[in-house]
Amino acid sequence: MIYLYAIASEVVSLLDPPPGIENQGVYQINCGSFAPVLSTLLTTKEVNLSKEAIYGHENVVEFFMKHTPILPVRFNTLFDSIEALTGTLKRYSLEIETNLLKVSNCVEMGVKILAKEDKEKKTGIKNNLTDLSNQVEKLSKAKKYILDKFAIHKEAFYLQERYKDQGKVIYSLLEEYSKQAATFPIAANSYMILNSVFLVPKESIINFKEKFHKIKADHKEFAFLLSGPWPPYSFVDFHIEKAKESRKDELCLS
Amino acid sequence: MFDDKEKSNFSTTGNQLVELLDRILDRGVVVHGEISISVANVDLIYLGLNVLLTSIDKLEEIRKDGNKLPLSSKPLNALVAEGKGGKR
Repeated sequence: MIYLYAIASEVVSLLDPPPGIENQGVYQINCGSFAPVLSTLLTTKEVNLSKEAIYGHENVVEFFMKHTPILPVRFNTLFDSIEALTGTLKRYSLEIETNLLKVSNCVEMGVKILAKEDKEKKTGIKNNLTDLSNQVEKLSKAKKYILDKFAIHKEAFYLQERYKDQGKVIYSLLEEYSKQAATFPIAANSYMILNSVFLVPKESIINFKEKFHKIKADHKEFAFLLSGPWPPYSFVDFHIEKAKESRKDELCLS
Repeated sequence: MFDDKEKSNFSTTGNQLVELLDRILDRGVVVHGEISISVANVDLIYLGLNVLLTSIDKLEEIRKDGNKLPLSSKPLNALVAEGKGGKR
């Protein structure tokens, strides 16, 4: 099986990449105007999800990212053959080239912000719900469980509503240092008020981090998480449909 | 490995791994129909079901409604359309 790590804009020659998945060698092939990063695996099945495999994938992606623009590929993307791979990728040449141009010379930075627990409010909600529980005779375990979960949801909802505008302001402040930015949905039962990613030009990383740390210092009421630089996983804006003929043998049941 | 990554500001460890998993398993170039992940040789199957969530109270309310709506014989989306399915 051919394992695909990333799609690079060019073949990076005279370099010795780290070993990849299953300790296999990593190589590139020319595929029109781009160069996929690959390993040939001995296995015929999907790769098991393990810490070694995850880091094996990421190490290869980050290695190539240092030398050329790349589009990182999701873990466990396999093709039956080089022909199946190139046939599929060539159908998406335009999308690949457009995305490579967009992420060129940029990295991804992740910013998450959580509201700190409001103990007074939480206690209030919990007490109210406990009173309610006590009023209901023969309360089942299921109902108690639901009421406890409801208390957490209610407090999370309260905090998300209270701080959502501040989250938007912080997002817009950081967006100024990025080429593109995006937010991701937040779980209803979490205290998170912002889950965001920024495509930051390499020359702006220091400024981005400085701005982040200034915002963090100004907002002691929140917990912050800054992560990165990452390969631009969150800024790939197309999906690939595998060519049908590559799965023909699996679909033929008779 | 990841030398130039920002240290996590959260107190718990492993946040960088969580951040990495978040990206590596869900983002990047995605080739449809090729994702099947297994842990310790146990396949994890992803089902594209349209899941309906409802509270225990709402479920009991539906059941008490003359048993007119046995859940096994009526599509859940029909219950939602009738306003009896709780929240999505």
